[in-house]
Amino acid sequence: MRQLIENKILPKVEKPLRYLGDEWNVEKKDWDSVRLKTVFAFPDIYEIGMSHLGLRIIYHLVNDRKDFLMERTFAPWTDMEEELKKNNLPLFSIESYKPLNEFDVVAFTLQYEMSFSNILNMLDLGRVPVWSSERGNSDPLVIAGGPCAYNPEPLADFIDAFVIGEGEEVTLEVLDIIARHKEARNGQLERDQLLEELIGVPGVYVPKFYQADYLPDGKVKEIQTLHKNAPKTIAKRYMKNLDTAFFPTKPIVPYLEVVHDRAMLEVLRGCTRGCRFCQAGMLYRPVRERHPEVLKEQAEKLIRNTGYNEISLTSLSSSDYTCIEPVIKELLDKYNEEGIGISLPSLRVDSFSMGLANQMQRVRKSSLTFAPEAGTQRLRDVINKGVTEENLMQVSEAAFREGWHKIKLYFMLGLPTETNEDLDGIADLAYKVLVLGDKVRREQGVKGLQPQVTISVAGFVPKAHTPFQWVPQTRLAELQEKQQYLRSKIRNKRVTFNYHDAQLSFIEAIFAKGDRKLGKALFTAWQKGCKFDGWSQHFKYETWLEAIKEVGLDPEWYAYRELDYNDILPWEHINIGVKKQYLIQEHQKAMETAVTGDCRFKDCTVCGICQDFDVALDLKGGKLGELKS
Amino acid sequence: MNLRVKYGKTDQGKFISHLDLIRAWERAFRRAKTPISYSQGFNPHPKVSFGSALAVGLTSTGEYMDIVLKSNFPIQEIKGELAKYLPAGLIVYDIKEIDPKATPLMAVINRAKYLVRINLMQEVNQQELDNILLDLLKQEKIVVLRNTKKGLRERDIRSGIFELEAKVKDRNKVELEMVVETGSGGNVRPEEVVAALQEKGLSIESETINIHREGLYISSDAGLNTPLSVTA
Ligand code: SF4
Repeated sequence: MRQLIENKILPKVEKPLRYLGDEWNVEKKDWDSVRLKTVFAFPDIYEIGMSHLGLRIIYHLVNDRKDFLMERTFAPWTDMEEELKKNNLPLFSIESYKPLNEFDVVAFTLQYEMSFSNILNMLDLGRVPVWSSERGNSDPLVIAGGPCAYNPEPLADFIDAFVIGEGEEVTLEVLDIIARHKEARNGQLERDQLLEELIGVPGVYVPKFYQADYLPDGKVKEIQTLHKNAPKTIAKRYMKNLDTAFFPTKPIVPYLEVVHDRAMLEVLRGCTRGCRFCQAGMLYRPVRERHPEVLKEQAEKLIRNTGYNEISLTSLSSSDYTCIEPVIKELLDKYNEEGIGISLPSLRVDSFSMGLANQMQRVRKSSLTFAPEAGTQRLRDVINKGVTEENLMQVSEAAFREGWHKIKLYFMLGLPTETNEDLDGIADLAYKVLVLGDKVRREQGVKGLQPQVTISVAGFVPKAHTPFQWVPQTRLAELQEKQQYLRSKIRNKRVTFNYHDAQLSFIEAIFAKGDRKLGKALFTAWQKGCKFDGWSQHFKYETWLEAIKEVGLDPEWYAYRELDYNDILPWEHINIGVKKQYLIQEHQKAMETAVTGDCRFKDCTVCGICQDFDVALDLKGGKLGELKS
Repeated sequence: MNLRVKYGKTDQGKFISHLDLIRAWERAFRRAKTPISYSQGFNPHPKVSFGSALAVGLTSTGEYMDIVLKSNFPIQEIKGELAKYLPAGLIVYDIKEIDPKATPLMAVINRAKYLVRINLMQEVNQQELDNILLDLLKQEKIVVLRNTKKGLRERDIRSGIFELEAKVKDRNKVELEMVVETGSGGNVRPEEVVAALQEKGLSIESETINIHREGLYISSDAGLNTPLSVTA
């Protein structure tokens, strides 16, 4: 098969390297001698999948086990899909060119709701029955993890088992059970029995053993377990200690330029700033940092094993790392000679020293990104985004002085309690930054490029497990009006206005807070040709609406339904550690425009995770408050 | 110390574009701890310069690049280490020291030799094949259409074809060998020669053409020299 694809198909498709797993540090194992064959399926193209740290962690974690094999497959781009179909070929793994249905396990990562249609498409192209209920003993087990697994219901009909939480331990536990199961049955998989065995693994959710019943208005009446061993709630898995957690120091180095084409060093996990719209901030609590010594050791191995010329210090918010300055300084001192740079994926307005940024971002001195998220202090307090105008002005001024000339500001539109005043605030902020830039430029003698500001605006999508999970999304027409309004406020050639497709945010909102009934809608949409929905050229809004209505559901109800604190949520049985009561309290505080502090700087706000789970805040530099006093 | 490296791209490497290739080498040098020199400035680049870029989809056994080292270093050691750290698809054949003042590869390379394997829709005998070739080469001009920045342009490639031979390998399988112009003076693409033969009546299966670059050369009165034969 490889010969055929290489000679006849690859020359015809865009970027053939997407489908050739011959990169440096790739793992190739003897197909017949391993105990278990698994494939990591990323429901988007290679360049995006290979930029994803989670893929790298799980891929190398599994392959470090000599008896297990994990290969990779990505969503084939449309040209490749056409060629596969034309030649009657299945979707295959890029290491050994095996069709997906020859693996024991197909493991998807769920990064984004709008990649769900690709999952169905990949299963189908890989000749795996799309519906879980239609898979037999000779079909692979389809498992899934990642952030969207925390509201697994829209995919419950298609995924055999979800893994909730951080995958470093639980993945191997699950694979061990599957391997033993197979061995006890002469290499055969007894699907129903295997799923029963998997219920016993903490953090594993087998949707088949749960049933949601609904009230006449469509809300959940109750979630029942259908098996005596199925736990009532599934608690997420987490790593207690990041220093001893597995981390790949011999990652694959793609030939093809991928989105994040650099060595990735994960400095910490979690974020407790407590932005109320942010799902990741609630899911990955508490903050656990890696020790600087561990990081330095990992950096050295990464550089030697990959040859990359850049190390990115990644996490939800790396400039919050309590040891960020010494770590960056040491890495710069050590590797500068060799032409190796250090970078941060995103900058925070309020915790960043510009001098450091200047040393670090030597390559990309063109554009700097900040995310105030809302245009007025009032609204920023509602969403608990702890950024002030003063912070933004200080850091912008410093940036202009250091030679940056483009500043990009991210905002959300349609946030709870938002009014036109908040939108005016967005335009105001942009102008203030621009005026500041002009002032700095004059002071520096009118050299260099004129300052520019880009405003990038996305529609707010309420997400499960956040304080805003009860809130309806702002109606599509209203979102579009807000967008027009804001656009009309911006009349300067040096302020660019970008807007995220509001229709896409609408469909995203449906699935972000979706229930199991939506499975049929997803299936129908996929059958009607929906795929690569996150790519604007492929997103078919009308088709999605049609599909949802065709199965008797109301898209507006999903996106705009107001949920009550007493309602049973479709994801009620998934326990992320942060208590529902805490989310309620945060929602109430939002409505009172009251802010909540970060437990790293002030007191514990008792969100629940450190109380109920065996884990604690782990800051290597001590509490920031303590350090300073 | 300046070195000239002869390397190749195997079947596994044939889809690596020139930009991807530059990155792949940079990373391989770093892994192999090749003591390469970097340019000064904000964004240091390793001092590496390539001969003529190889089109995507082609294999080659004769590509070249020049590299500058920070200091003198045993060549055999560099070669050995590089070989260990090269990803699948790339091979180092040979490394020689060159005069730091040697003319850059880009400026000296002016010939390329290709081996093209093609399948015909019908069988052909050597005589018929030779006649078609002769027929083509007799022409004063071979005009091809090329996509340029200014749109489609006509170009004559006849003067850029220096050698062209064809052998019937097996019934409908034919192997072409050609030496054509490459480099700053002009470029003749092997596909263009194949297309010209197609126009002369050779019924080529366009889906299965396999092109291999045998090498890059410097032509002189004495014939073709490889870029390594002019080293210090
Ligand atoms: S329980 Fe307290 S310390 Fe732990 S993450 Fe929640 S707020 Fe922070």
